[in-house]
Amino acid sequence: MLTLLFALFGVMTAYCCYSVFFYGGRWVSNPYNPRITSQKQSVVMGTVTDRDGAVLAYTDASGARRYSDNRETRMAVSQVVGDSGGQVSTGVETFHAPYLLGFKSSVWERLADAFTGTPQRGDDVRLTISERLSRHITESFPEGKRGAVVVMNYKTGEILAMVSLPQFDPEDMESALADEEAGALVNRATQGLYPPGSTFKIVTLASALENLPDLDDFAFNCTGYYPVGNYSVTESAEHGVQSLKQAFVHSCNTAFAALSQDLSYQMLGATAEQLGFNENFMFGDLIVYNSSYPIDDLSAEDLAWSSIGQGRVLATPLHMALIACTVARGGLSVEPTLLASITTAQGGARKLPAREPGSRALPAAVAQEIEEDMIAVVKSGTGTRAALGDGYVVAGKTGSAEVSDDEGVAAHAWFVGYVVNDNAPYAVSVLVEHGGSGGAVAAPIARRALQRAINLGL
Amino acid sequence: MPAKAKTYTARPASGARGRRGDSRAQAEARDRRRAISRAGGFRVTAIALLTFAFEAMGLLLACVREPGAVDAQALSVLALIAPLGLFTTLILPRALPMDALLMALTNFLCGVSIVVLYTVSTERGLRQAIFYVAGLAVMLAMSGIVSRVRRYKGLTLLSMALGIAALILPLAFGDWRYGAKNWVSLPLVGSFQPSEFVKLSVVLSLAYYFSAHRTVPQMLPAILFSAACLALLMLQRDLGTALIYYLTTLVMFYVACGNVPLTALGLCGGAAAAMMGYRMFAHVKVRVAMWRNPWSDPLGGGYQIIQALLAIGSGGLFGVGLGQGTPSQIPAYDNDFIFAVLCEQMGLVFGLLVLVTYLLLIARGASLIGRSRRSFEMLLGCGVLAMLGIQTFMIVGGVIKMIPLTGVTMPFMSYGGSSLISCLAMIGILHGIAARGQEDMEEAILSRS
Repeated sequence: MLTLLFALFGVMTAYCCYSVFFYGGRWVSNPYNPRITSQKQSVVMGTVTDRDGAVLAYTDASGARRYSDNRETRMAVSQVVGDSGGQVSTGVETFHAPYLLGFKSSVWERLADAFTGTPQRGDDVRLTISERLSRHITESFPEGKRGAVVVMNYKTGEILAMVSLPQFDPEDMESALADEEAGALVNRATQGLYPPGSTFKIVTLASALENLPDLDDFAFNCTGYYPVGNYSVTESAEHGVQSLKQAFVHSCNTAFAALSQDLSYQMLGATAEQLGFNENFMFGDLIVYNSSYPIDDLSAEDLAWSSIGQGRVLATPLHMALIACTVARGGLSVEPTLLASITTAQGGARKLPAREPGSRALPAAVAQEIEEDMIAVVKSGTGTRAALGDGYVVAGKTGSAEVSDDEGVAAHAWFVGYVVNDNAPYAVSVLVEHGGSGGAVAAPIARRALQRAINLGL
Repeated sequence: MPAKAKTYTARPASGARGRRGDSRAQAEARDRRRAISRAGGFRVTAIALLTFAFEAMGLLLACVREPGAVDAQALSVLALIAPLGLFTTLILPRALPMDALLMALTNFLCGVSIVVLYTVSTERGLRQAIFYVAGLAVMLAMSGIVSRVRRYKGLTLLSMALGIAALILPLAFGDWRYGAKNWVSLPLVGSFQPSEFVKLSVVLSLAYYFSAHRTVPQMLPAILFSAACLALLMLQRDLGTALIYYLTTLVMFYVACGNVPLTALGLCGGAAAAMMGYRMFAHVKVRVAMWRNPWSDPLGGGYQIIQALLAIGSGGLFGVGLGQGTPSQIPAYDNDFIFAVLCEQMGLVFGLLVLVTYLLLIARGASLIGRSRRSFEMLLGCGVLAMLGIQTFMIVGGVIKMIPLTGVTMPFMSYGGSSLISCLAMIGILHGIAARGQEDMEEAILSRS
């Protein structure tokens, strides 16, 4: 009896330590934490800059929180930086408030402030994003459309730009709050869960390459529809007989639906989970909502739809960028980072949050083969509009995710890809809500974003 | 067992012992007793001094918190509790039937509670200190009763009658507080929570009937009494306390007769009742939903638990400091959620230290009742320990979101006279059992020679 009670207390102690260790930081930086508000009264909040040192948020002489002087910059980085009132629950202003407000200062640093008589100052935070790239992406986004663009360095995991539209002006929160319906306060790149559509074929292809033998013999005759269960998976064009690579390059739905029937949902689910689906993302630098791939018993029909990223499959644009990074790195995953450096009020460097080293998500040979197929998509398939000049090779995959049975509602346009170049290691993920065709709408945005990143030499 | 107990009832009360001649055997018994108290001496002194230091530093800090003003009230609280702590731990156990280590651990928990409460709300700290003094008096009375009384029948019947009456009181005259009707106001006494004191009746009656009678029909009066208490608590909507009563009854039943099938049946019955409660009471559903995901309603149902988690997270390993932070943001911060306040101010390490103190206290209690020779005392002690242990687990587990939150107090730590006094009364029972165990040992040595 006593042993049982001791065991219960032991479990309680372990649980308490576990939850404080893993979630404690997120609890502190939660917008519902009144301590953040009270700390703001007594501490000078630190400055937030972009990777080149451009000021994005600062505290002025009167103690008020101010944002970049350039309205376009303020808007372009609005969801990443957040606002002083914590309306953007995942912004740097809230999530990294423990640094900015000096919660991480040691006793000695606080004492130093007390002795010199200066009011306590929080840390300055330099982000990995580029304000110039963010502005450029905002300008190149179709007028009036909603969506998100993520540009990352796939070698380092740094997020170079994370743009979500519509945007808001943190200096004018009143109008942002008045028009909350627009959803400008949500970071669509990390919080928006969308059906990934045909971009998910990267995952299905990976699963097939990993699990199925003799794929070289794969030949599928596309007749425009593929009956499965009580419905048919349809395709707008009749592609005729094609290999797996051709099916991927033309983004043939029926071929992939047929392929999925050779795979089981366990196999496809396992590959999806290796690539981060259903994972509780606990990145140290930013909050990313969990993508989901249903692994409970799928019917043949559900399996077919999930293999082309429809049905109950949901992903964030940032997660799709991470999948592109994994392929680009030869199958090694990478943790996305947003903090470039943190400087204490005394000028010292603060330790950055711990980052997980990349793990092997795909065999190198599989990643290599996917890369070749993705290069072909941009060279001669659905993604030709993402091609760059000057000898830069782009690998990518388009997607047009159906979101309604109503013919009048346009599909979400996707493009996921990267530059195959060690000196320009940029991965991109573009989502345009109800944009229509991924190849026509999303691919050009990706091209401009990648071109700009190369020009800026980030 | 009962036959053995009867032979002991013929023993003269302990006071008469001194008048007998000082035989060699008696001297040996005394030496042995001293040896035992010396063995625990260093640990006890260390804990007592640590408690004293904690109270002194905490309350002196509180005393000079406002620049330019000295809070005389903090000094008077310090003058009241700190010497009393030392006195009850180091001096009193030499003269009265008490266990010094048990007292030292209890004083530590109470001292931490008073200091933390005082820094959060001076008025509550002061009142808690007064409850503490009153509780110590009740504790001494209880230990005197348990170490002297030999026939429990009348006492048990009386306490059962009083228990039922006390639980009907709030239903008849009480008012709803936090969704339960478990408080009652009486002239002279003020407002109190009868269910805290009825715990003693339940443990006493269960121990009495379970120790003397070993067949289920003979154990029935106590089980019926416990069931009646449960029903009354359900009517008061005090489900957390009902759960404590129920689990304690089950533990004592198992310890008394070791009947696994019947205990399992009781457990299943409880589970079924819990399911029914879940269906019947809307607020139970909310509690469970908020345990599973409090973030789904951060400003409504999940507010309490989220504020507690935020407080614990903000405290980090070593806390923001005594009197710092914003504990008053947490609803019921002085009561059910005092563990969160403790963790915010003193840090996770200190919070875990307090949990370890509870475990030490329970382990000490278990070792004391292990020495007792009568099944009645053993069961009484078991009941008390089960009650304290279960209650602590329920509230701390609820605050850290490991199990659904049940609104019960944290023994010794939560603000409130009813809870503190009843907990100290339970410690008094353990003291009494310890004293009897001591006497039995002396008796054994005497009879051997």
